[in-house]
Amino acid sequence: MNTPESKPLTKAEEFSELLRCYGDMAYRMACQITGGRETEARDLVQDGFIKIWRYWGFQRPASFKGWMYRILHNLYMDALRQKARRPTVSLDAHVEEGTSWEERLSDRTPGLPVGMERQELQQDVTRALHQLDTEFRMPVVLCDMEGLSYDEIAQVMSCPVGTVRSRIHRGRVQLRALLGQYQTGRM
Amino acid sequence: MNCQDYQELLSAYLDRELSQEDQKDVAHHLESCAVCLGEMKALLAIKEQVRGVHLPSMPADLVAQIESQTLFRAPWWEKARIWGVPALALAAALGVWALLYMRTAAGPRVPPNMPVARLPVEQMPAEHPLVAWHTNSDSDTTKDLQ
Repeated sequence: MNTPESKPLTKAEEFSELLRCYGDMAYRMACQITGGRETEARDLVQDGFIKIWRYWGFQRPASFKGWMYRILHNLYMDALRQKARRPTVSLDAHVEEGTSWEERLSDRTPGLPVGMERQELQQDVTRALHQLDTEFRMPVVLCDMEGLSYDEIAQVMSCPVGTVRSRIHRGRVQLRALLGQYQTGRM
Repeated sequence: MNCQDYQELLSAYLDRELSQEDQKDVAHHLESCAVCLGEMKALLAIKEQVRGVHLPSMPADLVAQIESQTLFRAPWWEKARIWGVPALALAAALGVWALLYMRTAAGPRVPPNMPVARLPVEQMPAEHPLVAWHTNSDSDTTKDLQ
């Protein structure tokens, strides 16, 4: 990254660069992990980057992307476990629903001409993805959206490659069934 | 292997995650099986659709929020420098106050058996124990001096 003459980057400079390069990726992932709940996705990304900032001096992972996804995945799983122990009712649930990125996406005016049909399909796919269990949604998203290999996904999710393979397959089969249901419902 | 077994491998086949041998085996089967080929095309369409989902970029205010919690958060030595002086001044003030309080709480050094009076000894009635004590102590002192 640095030429021998150049000054090595400080931790703050490095972190700033990571935030710039991987911020969108982390946010996209968080949106998917949380099933499109924007407030949760924001909290997840924020907590994730704070954790990265804390450990950055001590840990230099071989693959930053994989490490970042693993942090996000673990944080989300911890939050789920905590929620299961202490179930709460969100007071601003209606606000969250109203401001989900999924709804904003459907309202946005795209720069490129996107046909109604295509837009509808995108909404259906997003909806179907959010209906999947996290254990199936995560590997499908990591594989198809982020382009991670099965090995990398196995590392992120701390499970064997065989499990990743079957979860991706079952996730896609479920997606197909859900999309079929939506289409039948419209007819 | 039957069609069911091949269909289990189709996702991994699409992602090129099978061994070379299995990859060839599945490809060979697809050439001859229309059902599995249909399954493979359906899965490929799903993969493409998921890939095509547009997701938003990270909001700018979230970036600022993260930066304020990480980059622009003062390290402990900075915090110590900022809060150190007032903390030391407060500690010193508390110390002085504690010292003064302890001295006052100890009270004046008086003999334990000395009675307490509100009037000066000269204005007290002669039978008052304090007058007697005063007189006695005076005479004792006189005796000691003699």
